[in-house]
Amino acid sequence: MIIMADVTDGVTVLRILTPRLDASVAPDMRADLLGRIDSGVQSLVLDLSVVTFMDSSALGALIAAVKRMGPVGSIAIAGSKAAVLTLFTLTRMDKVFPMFPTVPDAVAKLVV
Amino acid sequence: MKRDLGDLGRVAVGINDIAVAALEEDGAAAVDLAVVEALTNAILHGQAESGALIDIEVADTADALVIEIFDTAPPMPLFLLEQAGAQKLDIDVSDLDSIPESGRGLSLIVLSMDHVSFHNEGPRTRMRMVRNKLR
Repeated sequence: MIIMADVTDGVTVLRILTPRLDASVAPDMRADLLGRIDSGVQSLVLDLSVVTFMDSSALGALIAAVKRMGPVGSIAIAGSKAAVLTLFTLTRMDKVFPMFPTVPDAVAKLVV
Repeated sequence: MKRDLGDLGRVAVGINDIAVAALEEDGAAAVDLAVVEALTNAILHGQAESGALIDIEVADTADALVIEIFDTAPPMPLFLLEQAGAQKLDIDVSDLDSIPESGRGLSLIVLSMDHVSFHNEGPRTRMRMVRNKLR
């Protein structure tokens, strides 16, 4: 699981550099996200522009993160490819996670 | 394949190479998702200590791509397959705590493929998944 982190205008942007997000990486992804939230991150953008595949296990990691964050924070998704968008649509998670075409679009929305 | 999540990506990419050649882009992506969900279920719910391999057969026919997964895991209750589908993925967006982290795999398989069946065949099980070329 390879993640690069950056903070832009108070929003933490995580660039996921692992192209296939499946059950082999979901536990690490979950632990990473929960660790950041427990450390105080409240605005998070996940840049999935490199991700070509995502399954329900990885989606579960994101759900754990948004539940841990609760109503005080936000997690947005940026740069999803078609296969990833389909997963979010089929599972209705596009109603839970705001989806944006680019990181700047997502950051602009999350900046207070 | 070995009953090992670390082997999942290699196997799935190999099957996806066949799917990309046989189907349109959306179809190949759907098969990729269904295969990974099915293999993940087999690995996680199977008997890891048995060391038994999971066998996979892929057939590219004139009409469809057919994937069959053979396993020695305990049989899955058939009602789980009958209940799977879009209705199982409904969520209450206003109540985050009610949204489960897991349990979507079988419904995603059903929604991604044109036909899914599960067979208990003596000491082993067979999951058959079909994605038609013309939809």
